[in-house]
Amino acid sequence: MKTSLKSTLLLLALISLTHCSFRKTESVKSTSEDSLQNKGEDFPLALLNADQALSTMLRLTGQSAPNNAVLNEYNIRNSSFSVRSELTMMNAPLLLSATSLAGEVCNSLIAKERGLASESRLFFQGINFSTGVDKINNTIFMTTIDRFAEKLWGRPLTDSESALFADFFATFVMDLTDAQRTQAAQTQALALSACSATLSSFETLTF
Amino acid sequence: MNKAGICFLFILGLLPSTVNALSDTEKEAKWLLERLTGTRWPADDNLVLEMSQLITTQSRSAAAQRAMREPEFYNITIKQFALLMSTREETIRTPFNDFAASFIGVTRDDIDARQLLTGNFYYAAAASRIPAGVTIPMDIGDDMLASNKHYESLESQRLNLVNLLEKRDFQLLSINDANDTVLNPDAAGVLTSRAFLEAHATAGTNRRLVEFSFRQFLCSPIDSIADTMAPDVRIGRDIDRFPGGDPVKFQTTCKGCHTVMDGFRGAFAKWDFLNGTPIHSAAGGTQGRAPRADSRGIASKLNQNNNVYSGGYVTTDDSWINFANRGTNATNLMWRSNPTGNGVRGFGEQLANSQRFSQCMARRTFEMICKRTLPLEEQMLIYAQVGAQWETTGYKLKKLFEVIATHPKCRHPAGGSL
Repeated sequence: MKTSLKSTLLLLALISLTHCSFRKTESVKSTSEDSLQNKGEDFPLALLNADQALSTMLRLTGQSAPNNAVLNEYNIRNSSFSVRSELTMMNAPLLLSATSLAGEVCNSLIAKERGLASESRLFFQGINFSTGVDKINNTIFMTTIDRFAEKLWGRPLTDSESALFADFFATFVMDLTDAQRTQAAQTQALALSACSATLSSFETLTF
Repeated sequence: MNKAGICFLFILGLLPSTVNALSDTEKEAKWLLERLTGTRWPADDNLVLEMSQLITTQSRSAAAQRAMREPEFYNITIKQFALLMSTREETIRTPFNDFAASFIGVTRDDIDARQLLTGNFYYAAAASRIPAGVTIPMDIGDDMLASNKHYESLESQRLNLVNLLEKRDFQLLSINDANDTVLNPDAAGVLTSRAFLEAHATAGTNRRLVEFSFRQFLCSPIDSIADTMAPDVRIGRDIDRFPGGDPVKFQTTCKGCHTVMDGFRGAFAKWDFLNGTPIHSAAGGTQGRAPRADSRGIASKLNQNNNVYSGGYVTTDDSWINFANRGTNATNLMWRSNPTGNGVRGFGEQLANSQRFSQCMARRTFEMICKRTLPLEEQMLIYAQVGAQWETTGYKLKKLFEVIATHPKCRHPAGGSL
């Protein structure tokens, strides 16, 4: 089962990679050893390297400096990031590493925001971290996701993204037992998933 | 995170993103800010709005200047710009070092960038600016000259480099195992930085120092300036004139690179890198810092393997001759100073004053910010144009980044005519 899950993840990552590389720009070609061989008048998107990705994740979530957990994760994962900027350098290990790094940045963000009054938070307004997910409805969840989309991507969610997030929320809650749905830890896990997903998305990792 | 969460992360990448909420000017401001700082910014950040207004009310240049006030411009963009040039591997996956620190400092302080190849200074963290509770190895001998600990520590703790670095006049060299220091007798900016010397003066014959100086600062790989018709009087005795018993091979291939390299090699005749430390024979080192040199101070490696071709040139001083000044080399490199000189500083002046230096920096900046190369037919024109413009502004790196980031060939597609 574990192996099957891994394979599925890898496949999804690869599909995602292939799709994204040619969706966002057709200008990037890996036909030369020159990292910047992009001919013509195109304005290519560029892939962030590790240093840029960490800086981006911190900047986008309004954190001025990384804590030790983020730095440790960065030190473990940074070699999986590309040192070059072509989109074709994006691969499954990079995506996994970006997700792990985003996870730690998001943990730090959640720790910061849960100590703030709901209206003072940048992202998690309306989420009560001391109660379970049974107190979170689709509207509250989607409002949070909207905030991430606006801040990180500079645009509202597309219909298909909204549908995906709504589906994710429903599945997340459905997979829990009644007891788990009342646990505060699951609220944190939900927030972590939403934050990590947006923060390690293709759109966040390119500029 | 449960299974649903993990799968969800990857599916997200599949989705198209066609909805845009920013105006064209805001998009351009955001793009400018992100490319200059190497960092993505929140779309609703006040700085994006401020830059957008600057584009509308003043100019793109004003917006670029504003972006370059952010620490990420130095701590990420300039750092990586320099790291790519600092070692043999030419990768940003290189620890922060004194070479990159000088680039950050020179950019921040608006110093003439030619001094990167000629100046007698270095940059290190000011003890007074290090945040409380942070420990940085600060010993000049142990942590900056005999190792890279000082600079690595600044980076690994992700400190704000641009705020911490201070300019220190007079480069130093370690002279004994206790790492006592003396003044560097032939300081030449980053050419005599620990990182550059470690990369290129370790072992070898010091030809690599010439090769990579051309490669990094003139964007000219050595084979691109090979000239088999140039004088071979400076080619050392360690180069076989009959490789495989075939003198033609030497005359038609080997000689081409060696005329140029060996002509300049004398500049580094007194330099070596031993036991983790740059060594100059005139510095008078002892113990582990004792130079491996002859009585004239010429590093042993300059005249090693002297029986390969006994009629070759014997290095006796640190003089050099520019043999890359004929034909297409003269046209492409566009030298503007005396073709002979002494030491690394003189060599640095020769490179820095060539037109090719400014064009090369323009090219490197273009590739750093615009993430592409120009078509060949445009390269000559645009890099020459931007390079010339940069020279008139006093070789200030910030100006170069500003000009490139706002150049029509680099600009975000949303940025039309204003």
